[in-house]
Formats: sequence, C-alpha cells, structure tokens
Amino acid sequence: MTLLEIRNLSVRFVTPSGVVPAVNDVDLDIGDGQCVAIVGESGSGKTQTLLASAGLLAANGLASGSVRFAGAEILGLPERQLERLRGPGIGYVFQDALGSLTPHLRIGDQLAESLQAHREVDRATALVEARRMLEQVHVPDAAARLGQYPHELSGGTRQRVAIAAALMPQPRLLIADEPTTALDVTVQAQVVDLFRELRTELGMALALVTHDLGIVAGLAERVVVMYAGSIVEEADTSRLFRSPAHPYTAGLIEALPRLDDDTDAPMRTIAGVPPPPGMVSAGCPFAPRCARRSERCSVDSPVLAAHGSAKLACHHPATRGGTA
Amino acid sequence: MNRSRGLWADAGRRLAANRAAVASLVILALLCVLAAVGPAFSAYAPDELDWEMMGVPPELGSGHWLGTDRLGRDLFVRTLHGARVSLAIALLATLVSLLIGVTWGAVAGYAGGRADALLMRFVDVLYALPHIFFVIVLTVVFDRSPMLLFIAIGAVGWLTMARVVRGQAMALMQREFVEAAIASGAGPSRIIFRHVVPNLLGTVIIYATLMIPQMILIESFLSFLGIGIQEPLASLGNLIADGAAEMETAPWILLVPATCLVIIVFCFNFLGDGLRDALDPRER
Amino acid sequence: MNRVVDVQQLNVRFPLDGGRWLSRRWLTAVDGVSFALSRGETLGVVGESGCGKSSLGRALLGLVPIHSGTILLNGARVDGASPASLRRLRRNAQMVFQDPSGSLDPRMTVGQSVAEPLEIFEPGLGSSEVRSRIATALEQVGLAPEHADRYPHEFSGGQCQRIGIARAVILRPTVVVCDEPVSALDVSVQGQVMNLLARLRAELGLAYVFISHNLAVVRHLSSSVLVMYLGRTMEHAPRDELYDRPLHPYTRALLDAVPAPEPGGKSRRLPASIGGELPSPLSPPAGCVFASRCPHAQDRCKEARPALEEARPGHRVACHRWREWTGGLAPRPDA
Repeated sequence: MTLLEIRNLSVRFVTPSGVVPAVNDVDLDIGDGQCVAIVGESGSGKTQTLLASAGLLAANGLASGSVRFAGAEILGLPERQLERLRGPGIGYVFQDALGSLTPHLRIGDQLAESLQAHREVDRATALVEARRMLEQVHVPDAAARLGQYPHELSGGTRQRVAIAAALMPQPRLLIADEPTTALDVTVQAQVVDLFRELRTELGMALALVTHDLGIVAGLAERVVVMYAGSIVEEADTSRLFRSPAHPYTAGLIEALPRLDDDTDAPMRTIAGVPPPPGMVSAGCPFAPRCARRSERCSVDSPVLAAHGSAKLACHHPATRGGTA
Repeated sequence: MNRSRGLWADAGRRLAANRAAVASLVILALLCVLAAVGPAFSAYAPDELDWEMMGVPPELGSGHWLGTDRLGRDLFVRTLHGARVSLAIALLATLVSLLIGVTWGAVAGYAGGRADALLMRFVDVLYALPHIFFVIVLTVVFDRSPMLLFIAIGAVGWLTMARVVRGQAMALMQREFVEAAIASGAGPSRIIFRHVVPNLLGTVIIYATLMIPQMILIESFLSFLGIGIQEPLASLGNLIADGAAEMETAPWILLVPATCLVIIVFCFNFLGDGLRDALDPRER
Repeated sequence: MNRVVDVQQLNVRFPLDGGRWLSRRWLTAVDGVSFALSRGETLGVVGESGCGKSSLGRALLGLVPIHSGTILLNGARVDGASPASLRRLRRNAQMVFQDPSGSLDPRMTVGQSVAEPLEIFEPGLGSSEVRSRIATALEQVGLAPEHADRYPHEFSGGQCQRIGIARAVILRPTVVVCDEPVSALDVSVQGQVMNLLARLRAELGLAYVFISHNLAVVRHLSSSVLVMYLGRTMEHAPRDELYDRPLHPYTRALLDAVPAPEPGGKSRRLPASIGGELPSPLSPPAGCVFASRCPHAQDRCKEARPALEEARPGHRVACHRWREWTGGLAPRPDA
C-alpha cells in the first residue's frame, strides 16, 4: 500500500528578488514500511520536497500539486490538522540535532511532551515510554539522560535523542533529513545501523534525504536521485549501484571516497558546479556538466520515463557495458 | 544576475521597498532642511517680539502661520529653531556615543578576558550613577550651557552602545572568518576595524537610529525641567514647557512643538524598524 | 633539509572557566604529539570530534596556547613566540577552514578576502600588482579573475572553498593546515577540491596538514597518517602501511566505519563496543584512553597506559595488544 503519494509537486519560494523555483513536478511514492532514499546535492530540492510533504515549508514557500498521506491530501491543510497528522503520521529528524532540541528543557521532558501532544497519557507513563525509547535507540545510560539538557550530550547521542523524539508518537513514516552529515564517520555508521534496526523492529517507512550515496547502500530499498529540482533517476538500490543509467548518478557513485581505489590517480569527480537555484535552462539541467551530452540535450529537456524497472530522465542513458 | 551586489546594496533595495521607512526618511529630510533654512525665509526672528500680536492662534493671514506665544514670538520660527537645536544635539550626541561606544565595545569584545571585564565593569559603574541627578548637580556647580547638556546626554548614550557592540563583537570573534583573518596574519587593529566593526555596523546603524529619538526625548525632558536649553534659545523641550503652562488658554503653544517632537520621534522609530528589516534579514 | 614542520611532544591546554584563581582546571586538547613534515608531503590527521585534531592544526600557527613541547615551522620556534613574531610566521603557514562560506567575511569582496594576506605582508605593492596577484591566485584555484568583484554569498560552497584556498596560497606559503576542508561539501565537489589541493601541492611545493574525521577522505592526499584519540597519538604510519596493516583497534574501527558504496558490500561491521562512551578529557583514565570502546581491551589496558612504540620502521602504535589482536605481523587480507 502506498503511504505517501506525491504527484506533480512543485515548490517555489517568494523572495525579494523574485520567485525562485525549488522543486519541479516531482512524483514520488513511498510504500508502507518501505525505505526510500532521496539523493542529491545541496540545492537539488530534495529537502524541500519532503518539507512540503510534511507541511513544514518556510512561510515564503508555495507548494502546488498533490501530496497524499495514507490517502488524505496534505497540501493546503490548516496548521491545526497538520499538527495532528505529524506526530503519529510523519516524524521528522533534522540534520542539526542540537537545533531541533529545545535547549532549556530536559531530555525526558521533551520526549514526554512529544508523546503527550498526541496521546492521552500521564507524565509518569510518558517518562517510562521515553526511557524505553532511549534504550531502543541505544542511548547509553538512558535513565540518567532523562534529567540532562541537550548541550550536555555528545553529537551522536544528541542525534539519537532527536530520533527518539520523532519516534515517540510511533509515526508510520519517518523522514530523516541528512541525519548523519554533521556526525563523525564512526557515529554515522552507528546511526545507519540504528535506522536499519528500527525499521525491522517498528515496521515504519523511512524517507532518507542525503547527499551521500555511501550511507544509502546498506539501508534503502529504492533510491531517488534529484538534480536541480527534478528527479533524474529512480531505481532499486542494487540496480542503481550496479548499473546507474543517468550520467549524474554514475558520477555520484564514482565520486564517493573509497578505501580501495587507486591512490596514484586523481579522485574521480563530476566537473562543474550545480546550477544556482532558480536558474531555468531550456534543456537538461545537467547538460553543462555531462560528458555524454549532445546538442539535443541543451534544447530539449528530457522527461522522467520508465526505463526497464526504473525511471529515468536522460536522452543518452548508459546501457550495461557501455553508453548508448 | 550579472552585476554583483554587496550586502549594503541589497539592504538599500530592501529599505527602498519599505514604504513607512521611506516616507519617514523623506519627512525627516524635509524637516531637517526646513529647520536649517526655514527660519531665514520667515519675516520674524525667533527672539523677536511682535507687540501687536501676543498669543494669537494659528492663522495664515496674520503672517504668524502657527500663531505666537504669550510674548508675541512667532511659533513657526521658534519651533523650527527648537527642532534645529534638538536635532543637532541629538545627532551630535549620537555620533559621539557611536564613536566612543563602538570603539570601547569592539575593543572589549575583541580582547575578552580581563581587559573585557575591566572595560565593562567601568561601563557598569557609570550606568549605576543616577545621571539625571548627576546632570542637575553639574548644572548647579557649573553654569548652564548647551555643551554640558550635550555631554550629559552623550554620556548616557555611549554606555548602551558599548554594551550592544561588545556583545556583537564577541559573537563575531567566534565566527570562522575572523579566525581566518587571524590565521592570515592580521593584527588586532585590522581584525577590529576591517572585520569586526564593518560586520556590526548594521546593528550599530539600527541602534543609532533608534537612539536619536531617545536623545531628543532626554534633551526635551531636561529642558522641560528647566535645566537644559535656556530662554531665549529655543529647543523643543523648553517650548513644550512654555506651552504646558498655557495649555488651557492657548493650547496651540503646546501643540505645535509637541506635534513636531512626536513626528520626529515617530519617523526615527519607523526608519529604525525599516533598517532593522533591511539590514538583518533572517532569510535571503 | 626540506623539513618544514617539526613537532615534538606537543601539549595544548585550555583554561576552563569557573576554576579558582590558583587551582584553575585545564582541559588538555593535545597530549604529547610528535611528527615531522617535509615539502610536498601531507600528513593526514584523523579522529572523531573532540580528539584534538583541530587544536593540533591551530597550534602549528600559534592560534591556541601551547603548554609544552616544541614546534618548529621552517626552523622558527612557534612555542613561546611573541604575538608579533607569530604573525610574521604566518607568512609561510596558512590555513583552510571547514565552513567554506563562514570563513569568508561577508562584507568583503572575494578579491579583498583573497588579497588580505598580501596586504598584511606586502603592504608596499601597487594596486595593479595586487590585482594581477589576485587574478593569478583565482585562476590557480579554477576561478575567473572577474570573480574578484563579487561577494561570497553569490558562490556555492565548493566555490567558496576554492576562494579560501586562493587566500591561503597567495603568499606562496610552505605549509597549509587544512581543517576538514571538504566535510561541509557535497560528495560531488569534494573530489574536485581534493584534486585541486593535490595539484597546488605539486605546483607550489606545499606541505599540508590535512585534518579529517574520515580515513577515506585523507587517503588520496596523505603521505602519512596520524590517528588521534582524546588528544593522544594512537597510530602514526606511512599511508599504505596504515591502510593495509592498521595496528590499532581504533584505526580498524575508523576504517570499518567508512560506508561501502555497494549494497550488501559491507563485509565488516563495527564492533558494538565502539558505541561506548568517550572518557571525559578532564579526567582521562589511567590506562589506555580507548579501552572503554575497544573490542580487545583487557584488564591491563585499563590499568597502564600503552607507550607509543615503533612496531615497524616508521610505524608507531600505542596499544598493549597490537601483536595479539592483529595476529602478529602477518599481513591481513581484507577481502
């Protein structure tokens, strides 16, 4: 069953210097219990797509199209109803864990409150539940943490607490926005392990937003690659890593720092820079950085279409074993 | 976007889009021009007594457009004169508190540690003095003069400015670009005047704009009490004091300078708010 | 010799607020670290946040208080130098920062930022000379001379980092300290910046101290790698030696933490013990500082601190049990 169904979603921002488009015509499905990764570099619209899906766009953001959660339309819903939906429906974990925790509230109070906002429970029960949740996300010495303040915790523990806070009302969909970017590699690996474990234990769906394909490999079932506000490729994770069809996806995979490549050769990169947000070009937005571009690419924008079992927006996709 | 825009140019555009701020700016500019040159175009001098027209209400035909006071002095000219004196004192005092306060605060914020503690405790001590009484004592000991008034007002202003700037400077010192400048080999004066001060100028300008009306109010308050600007010199404060005495029989003598004061204070506050929005945008 | 950096038994401490005047408490950020670096070489400094790697980098430029030990920069002492002579030292030692846009003054044009070291150290230059030096520096980092008149907020993170690098190399320094220069950048531009740094090293004969939390990131650039934990050296070895034959369990854990970019391709899992708590730097344990998170820790590790010993030529490790847990010195195939 489809839990989150995004159709023709576009997001624009009204700024003093004009209207800046951030997301163009995005279609995306996340099934119950599924893990989908949305990958792209900063400015690709990946975060705004999911903020819009949770009704969390900034005040100057305009969303159009349709976002349905468990069959009910989210776009245009009044704030009151959005709030009711968010906790038990959609949980959100931000990149900046310290920023998403209230500095002057004890951990226990914050966790208890996020539960009490959505369910009729007394404080004592909520605190017990909070402690259980901290143990579930492997915060060491959970009972003692309940009485501590966010600044007393290490970065990794803070991110675990932020995850626990989002999980308290037992959401059906957890959106994690760059949950590991600010963390050390060792902690990153532990948080990825935690997500994997939570999915099997709680059976929730997970939307993982990241610029780092490396952490996606072991976690997501499906990967959606975004570039300049549009989806350029969508495929099963194993298929995507085995044979990326879009040159941008291939570039992202090759650009990952590895422990087994040739150190004498320069690191492989994607040339050029992503277009600034709001730049509208006639052709494929990736064309200026693409090694496989043709004249057609700079005039005719490719549309997302079925490509085998996957979806792709490219005039010159790579076929297995070579380029077309 | 072909032409490159600095943060100041950006802020200028945002300010220009704020109608209340632009209107305030225009009114203030007009008022300043009027205060500077207006009295020269009037047939009357500010201390000239018109024996035939004492205490006449505002009337265009009489030549005294805004009426006269009990002694027959032209209120239009006197109010503009008063506005000139009040504005000049406020602007000058603000400028002086700006110079002292910014330098003091920036140095304290840059140095940190014991130097900061020393500099700021000094500010705290001065803050603790009841300066209105202090001014009264001073005017009794020395003679009453606009200079003394100006010093008294300035002395209050720079303390607050120093505190604001010091807080901002401390926050800026934590920013990576300041560390980058230090790592590049920049010395203390370069850090303070090339990196710290330009980046807190926005806050300082906002603050100064909001400080000017406060200065005018303090000046008026002191003059109202009779320890500020003295007759026959006019300031908005002593004009209002004069008018208050005649409030029941000749209300215009109070209303004319009071309206002028309110307009000035309102305009500066609107302008300050506009500058705050323009210089400190949370989102760009 | 071409030796540009020589650090001996460096100890960096910060005073803590709240202590009484005489019994002030200190936080030791770097404890007994030694290394040397020659022109054209790069030392990768790797560890988790709070391990003292940034303090180590800043100590080289005299930006943090050096409590004891010696630092020689091009033969000149950094420890105990006066503020004025420290500033002079920075002519030959510059720094690249983590936050690309945050390390540029938002009120200065790109040209002004890049030219700042030049203004400080060569104040006599004419304006046309300055402009051409700016243009050269911008071209060296792959930007156009016209960019000099723009402001930082008009550039992407990767471009801002290039600007920061242009500022760092405009004086032709001998040493550049790079503090996590790519960790705030998108994966797709990280490689560009790394390749740029490699090219500049070859062109200008620079030496880098490259700080990162990710062993995979420093691998291409480093000639040797120093792994730090809680202010101390855990392992220090030439690059291939360290990656092929890590002798410290912490280095092993850092290697295992690098995500494998293939689904299901991750053969190694981090040991559960790595989730253990970091001991407080205010009261470091008597034994090995890593013992609380080490999968191979024994009682001995909690009681006595292991010395940094030379296990193989040029390969130093601070672990009581490196022989046991690696199975002697037999090479370990990592397949």
